[in-house]
Amino acid sequence: MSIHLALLRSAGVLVPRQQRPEWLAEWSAELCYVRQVRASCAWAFCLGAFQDAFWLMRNKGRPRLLESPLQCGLLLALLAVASASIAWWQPSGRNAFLPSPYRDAESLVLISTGTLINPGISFADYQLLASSEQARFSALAFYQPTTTRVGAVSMSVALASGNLFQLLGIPVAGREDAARIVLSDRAWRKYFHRDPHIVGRVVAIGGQEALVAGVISADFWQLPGRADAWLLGNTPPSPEKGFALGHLRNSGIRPPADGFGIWIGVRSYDCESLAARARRPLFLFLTALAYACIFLSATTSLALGATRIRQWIFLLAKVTCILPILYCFAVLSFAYSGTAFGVLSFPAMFPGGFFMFRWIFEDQRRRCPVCLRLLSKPVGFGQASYTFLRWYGTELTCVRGHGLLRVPEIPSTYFSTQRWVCLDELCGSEISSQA
Amino acid sequence: MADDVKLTHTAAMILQAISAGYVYGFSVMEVTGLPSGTVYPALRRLESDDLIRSHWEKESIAEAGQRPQRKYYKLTNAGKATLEISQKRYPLLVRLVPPLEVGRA
Repeated sequence: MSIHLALLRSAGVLVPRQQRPEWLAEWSAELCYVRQVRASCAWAFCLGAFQDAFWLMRNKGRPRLLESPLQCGLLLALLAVASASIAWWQPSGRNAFLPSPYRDAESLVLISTGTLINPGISFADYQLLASSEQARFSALAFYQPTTTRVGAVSMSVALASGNLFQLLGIPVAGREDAARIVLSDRAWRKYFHRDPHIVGRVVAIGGQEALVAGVISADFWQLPGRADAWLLGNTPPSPEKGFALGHLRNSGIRPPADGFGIWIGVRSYDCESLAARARRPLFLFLTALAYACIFLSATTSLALGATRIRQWIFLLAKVTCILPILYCFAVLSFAYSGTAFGVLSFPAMFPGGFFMFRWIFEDQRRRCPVCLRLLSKPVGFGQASYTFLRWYGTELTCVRGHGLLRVPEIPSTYFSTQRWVCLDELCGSEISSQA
Repeated sequence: MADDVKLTHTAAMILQAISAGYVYGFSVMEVTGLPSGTVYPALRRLESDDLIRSHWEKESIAEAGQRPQRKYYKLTNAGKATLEISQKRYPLLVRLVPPLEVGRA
């Protein structure tokens, strides 16, 4: 087998299986004639087979979903609405926009290791903190999510110090030193059948009795660790880690937005205000957006050559639809931080945002300025020039015949930018757009 | 169909070449000066748009000429109509692709 035939067979791998025998037969037959007439061109001829194979591979009869601007807009709007719904459904997604339910949330700090995996603090460290950091914190509280039996059912219960809700500014009934339980509205509905007289009743929990001190909405709990109920005044002697909450003295001074660190014994802990923590998805989103804009301006030409208002409206609509998708990414990576999904989605969010915006600009450049439909029927034109002086590139056309777009493969002084050539009276004069 | 299909200049030139009697890929390449990577994908697209139709020549004819079988292309009615529209759009098309001399196919 000659090297030329080997090239053809290599290109044939890209061709869909059903078309491959006929495709190979045609190219092999043509190669015979090329060898007879222009043997020196056989190499270039065989390299063209790859372009043909790529074309067949890309055009396997798939519908072009985004061809029409309406379809593209609807699909993006659908994705945007779905993303916005998911983001709003996540408490961390909506809390970023809603006022904090906690009193003085700027001065309330969550004390944790700051790591994604196992970020809690041990009870022994909390006790050390309570004795050593009185100058910094006016009050401290501790809670530890666990699973305990309440009556006949097993529930997620946070064992917490008696002042937890007082520190958060959520009023609950009962004395601080007595064993009390606060139920989430979900647990109240599910396990106590919406009993309107539940507050004040005594329930058995983990072998002891506790007074039901209140029922709170799930939206009130914006701290890490899921809980159906909070058992107050029963500080756990368990070796498991929990979370510490502190109220800073000098509440007139806001803690730094990115938090601060403290040392407890030999370990360092991060302190982040609850207000900053609630805004973190928004901060992540804005950071990803800023990264996308910086990388976009560094790697992609932002010039679109758009001259019509409809082009700008379409561009704006696409950007508007992409923003909720990116925000949804930020919310999910924050909500699931510590899990495999969170670990993967956090670093993926930054290139994801960049590629989404890059796609917007590239898609915009491949659309007809008159009807905004995606240009189609790409034709590779010319051959790579050894001197870079001859232009070669791709020619695309509007399916409605408004014009042609010529895109140079390598920008040269002669043909540095893609050019739109009007073929329709609707189009007016020739428009050049920057590549 | 013919009214709906708008061709690029290159695709119209290939259609014109087939109409002028250059009925297989290599001859289209020769007359238009376009490379194989342009001509063959364009032929596939024109065929998928029903503007041209392909068929293999008879094996007996190829054997008689001691050469491999060729795949020939031919304009459909829709292709002829589209070519007429394209000729109005690109007036130099006919001059760019001269008609095939008799006996050179």
